[in-house]
Amino acid sequence: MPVLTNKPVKPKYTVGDTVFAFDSGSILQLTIVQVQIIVTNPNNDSNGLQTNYYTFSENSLKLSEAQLASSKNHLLGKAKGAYLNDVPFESVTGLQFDNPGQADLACFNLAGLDLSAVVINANTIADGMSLDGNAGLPTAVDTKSEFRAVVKSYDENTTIWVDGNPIGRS
Amino acid sequence: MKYSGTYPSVTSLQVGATAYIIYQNLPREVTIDKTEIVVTSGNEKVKYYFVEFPGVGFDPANVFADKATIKTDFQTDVDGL
Repeated sequence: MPVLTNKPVKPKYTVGDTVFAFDSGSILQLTIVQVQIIVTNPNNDSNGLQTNYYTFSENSLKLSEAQLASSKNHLLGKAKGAYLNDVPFESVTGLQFDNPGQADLACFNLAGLDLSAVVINANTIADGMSLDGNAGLPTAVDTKSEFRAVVKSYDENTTIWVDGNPIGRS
Repeated sequence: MKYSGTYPSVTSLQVGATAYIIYQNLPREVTIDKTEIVVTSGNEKVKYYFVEFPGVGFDPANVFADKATIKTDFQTDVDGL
């Protein structure tokens, strides 16, 4: 069996985070109180398998990372399996993405837009969001590392950067 | 929501590594099959599981990377590992 290295990696969510999950068709808002991380290597390769489970202050559920979302829109987009807007936006002139409760851009397709005049900040939820081919971003968030550092939430695999590739993680 | 936070730490011993323990009062050479880390507010607790003793979790304080660490009390037995 090969010896793994640098495990575990940081889970997406941590203790104290607010997350969302489905329960019988309704959306639950949950607060994480414990994370259980299990590392194994069933395939005997150099990557191994890390599974993260979460428990919450509101109930006795124990859910995997795949069952959770960073916001309501993120959860809806995951359930839909596609972007929330079927037709790409042509313009977002005048829109602001920075107010709490109005910054949930998860699973929105913003491809090709000029976002240089909008505000993206620590309230912005960007999981599953596409910036593919964007014509402009605010200078404070126009690199992957800046964007990851500034926003409230992103997904390393499903947040798509302007180059068409996943944004990755820091 | 950004792959951050203090915990979990990278475990000092990794899955697939050889380790040494005292089990049922005998020194053993074992292979780590699974690591489990439970993170709560402000701390983390690690358990190691071994191929040789499935289902039995060991605290890091009782798992050693170097057999010399347990040799003092089990000189003859450790030499035979």
